[in-house]
Amino acid sequence: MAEEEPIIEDMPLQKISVFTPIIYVSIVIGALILFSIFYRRKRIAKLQVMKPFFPPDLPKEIYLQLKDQDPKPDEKVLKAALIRRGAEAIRRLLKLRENNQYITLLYQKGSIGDEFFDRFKLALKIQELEIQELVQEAETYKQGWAPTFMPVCQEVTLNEALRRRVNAIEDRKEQLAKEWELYQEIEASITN
Amino acid sequence: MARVEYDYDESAETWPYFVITLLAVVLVPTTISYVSKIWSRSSSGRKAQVKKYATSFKASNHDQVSQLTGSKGSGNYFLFSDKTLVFLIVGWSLFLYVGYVIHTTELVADANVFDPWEILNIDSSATEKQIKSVYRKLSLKFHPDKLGSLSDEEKEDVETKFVLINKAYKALTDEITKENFLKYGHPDGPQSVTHGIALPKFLVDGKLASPVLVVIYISMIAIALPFVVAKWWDNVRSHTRHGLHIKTAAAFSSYIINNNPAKLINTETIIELISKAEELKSATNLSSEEIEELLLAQLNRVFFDSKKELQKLKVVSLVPKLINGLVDIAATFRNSELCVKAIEAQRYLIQAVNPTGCSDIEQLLQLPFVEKKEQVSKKIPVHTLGKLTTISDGEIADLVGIDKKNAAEVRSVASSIPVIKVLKAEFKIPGESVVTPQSNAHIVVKLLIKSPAQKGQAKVDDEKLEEKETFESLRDPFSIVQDQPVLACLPESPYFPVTVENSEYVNGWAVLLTVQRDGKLADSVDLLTRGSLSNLELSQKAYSDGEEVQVTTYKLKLNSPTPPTPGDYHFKLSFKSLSYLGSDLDIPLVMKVQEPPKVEDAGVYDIEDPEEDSIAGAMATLRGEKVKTADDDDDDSASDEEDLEIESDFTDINTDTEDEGEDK
Repeated sequence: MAEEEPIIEDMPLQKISVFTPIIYVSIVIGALILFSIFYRRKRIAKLQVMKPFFPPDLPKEIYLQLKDQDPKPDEKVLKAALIRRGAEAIRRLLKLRENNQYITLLYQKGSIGDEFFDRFKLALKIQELEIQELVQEAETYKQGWAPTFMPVCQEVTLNEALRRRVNAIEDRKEQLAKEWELYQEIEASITN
Repeated sequence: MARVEYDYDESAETWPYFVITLLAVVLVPTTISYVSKIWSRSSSGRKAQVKKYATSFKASNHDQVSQLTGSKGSGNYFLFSDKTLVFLIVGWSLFLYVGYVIHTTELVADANVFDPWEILNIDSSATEKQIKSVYRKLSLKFHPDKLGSLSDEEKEDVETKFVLINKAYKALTDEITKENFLKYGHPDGPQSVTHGIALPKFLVDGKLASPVLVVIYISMIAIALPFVVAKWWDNVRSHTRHGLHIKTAAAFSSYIINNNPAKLINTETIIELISKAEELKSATNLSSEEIEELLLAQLNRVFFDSKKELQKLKVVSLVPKLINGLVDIAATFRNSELCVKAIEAQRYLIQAVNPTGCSDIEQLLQLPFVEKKEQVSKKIPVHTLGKLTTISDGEIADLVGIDKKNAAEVRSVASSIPVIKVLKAEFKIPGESVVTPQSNAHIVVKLLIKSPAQKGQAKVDDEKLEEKETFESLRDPFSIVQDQPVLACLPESPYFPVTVENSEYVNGWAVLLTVQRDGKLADSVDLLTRGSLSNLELSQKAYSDGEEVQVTTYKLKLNSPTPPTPGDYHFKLSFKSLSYLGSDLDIPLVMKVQEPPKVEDAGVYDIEDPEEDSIAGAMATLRGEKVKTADDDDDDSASDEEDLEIESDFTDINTDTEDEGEDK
């Protein structure tokens, strides 16, 4: 702290080597490069450990595996698998879009952390990329399939959602009956 | 030339002031917060209408419960304050010591200070004439020519005095000298300036001084400061505004998003979800499976050995805060089912009642001495607290399978569990006689908090239900609610430790406003935590008379504005008790939106944002239709109402969070 006492009385012309500015510049630039490398690495590592927003995408896995099989399966099988994959992608995208406003509201209120919000935004981006990829994939099977492909996938999604609900009625009934101890009565009424 | 020099504080003149200021900066706020904390604690004890129910019943885990609760936790209370108290005592004694040091050090007057008036020994308001006469007298007296027989030393003294007198005289009369004096404080122009550094000498000049100073400096700036800031920032980042750990908040939100709507939510689901909370893991060092096991044990009244029991109760005592956070997040998603189930799960955990298979007698299981559901006789058709208070002691004993001598106690606890009776509920806009479109409304509820033993109507004067609209009440319509005393947990559950931390989440009722049309929440979940409990002690006759009945006012602020189009909008207002079973109440509520009587006002309201509501309207019709076709199994109220009219801002509630596919 106390060493800053420049002597200004006589200033002999000092000769500076040509390398001095070069060394200076290279140190500065080197430091910046190092920083950026580490920063990026850290960010990528952070993204890697980030928990995925959704459980593993099974239809996508199935499609990719089918596509990579050595004796190539029938094109119809591949197409069907692609539609399944598309249906799942649309389900996820819809879910994310639907919840977008709530998540944003939660974030504004301070009820969720930065990390979760980032994960959500990332999932949204990934899902949009997935849709793009699907469109490209569909085009490889048949030129001009994409415009009809997406509505088909959407229909599958809607149909499945409805089906899930219809199929769940039985479970719900059982669960409610158990809670209300009415199981025997219901069973009796079914058998009658 | 003027000399500038830095001086260390050798005579300890300045640094004690520095230290005392620093001490005061730290000590005063700490003391104020400490005192106010103690004061609020003792006064909240006074204000809260705590009436201890001395029940002779002791649950199997009574010792552990009382170990954790605030009542016996006075040791706990001192433990908390211990550190702060020691810090304050040490701090203040240091403060006093430094004050003493300051008091005893005399201020050494600086010889350099030049005061012409003092030298001439005159008043600072003296006129020029006076100055001249005084100067003449003094210069005669001290003139060097008149020194006669004085020693050399004395001579010198007198000479300097004479010079000073001359200077002082010039400073007051001569123009140039005067200017110099005013500018630099000295007639000769700028003087040497000394800057004192508020550091004691030993810190700077000693052998070890410089390294010590460097170490202190570095540790302050480079270590302590970043550490404190980082710690604070980390804490801010790791907890949400509701005090939930961000991992917990993330787990809750992703559960809500990924939840399969076809699945029913029950208490076990909530427990599974809660047991993932980071708070519970860090408090107990257990895995979430083990925590879930403990919570289920609480639900089923399974008791362990004292160490594990204590752990179980510790987990349970943290649950209300987590439930509160869960409800806040679920409410943002407008998910009424999850909110209701979460609040119910909290009550079941507090009362240690597993509803499965005995939901008809759950109210009885929260009473003391009723330890097992098998105890309750199925032969006597009594399921509610209200009914229980009407039957005789003998019948109570038979009903819940207990000794007859305890029946009176059961009765007294049953009649002291508060229930609410709504006298009047309406939507209100301050300063308006009707509910106008696009305005900020709140719900005013006039209710009685009463005992289940009190039956029938209370004849309450209409006066008690009216609120005079004064200037003050228009400005802050909620002040009347805030003036009421805080509700306290009346008969505490024998199985649950009410601690200082969780007491705010277990007293009172949660208030949910749901839209009848689709069963979604209309607004965030609020708590009814203030009101009068005095009705609980009234006899049936006094209650019916209504003279002594105390009316509680509750107001629910709506965050979203009223719909832009006039019409009737149907809501359900639910009061869900936070700790008792059987104290809930649901009332239907209709919001009649009308154009305000004045025409000009309507104009203003219309212009406000027509664009937005037309877009919102279009979106809503779209959504409304779509949701309906696919969502029939979810709730019947939606199919009952054929009204597809655009319902403005409240239609955004209609977006079905649970249904993935239907929107679009």
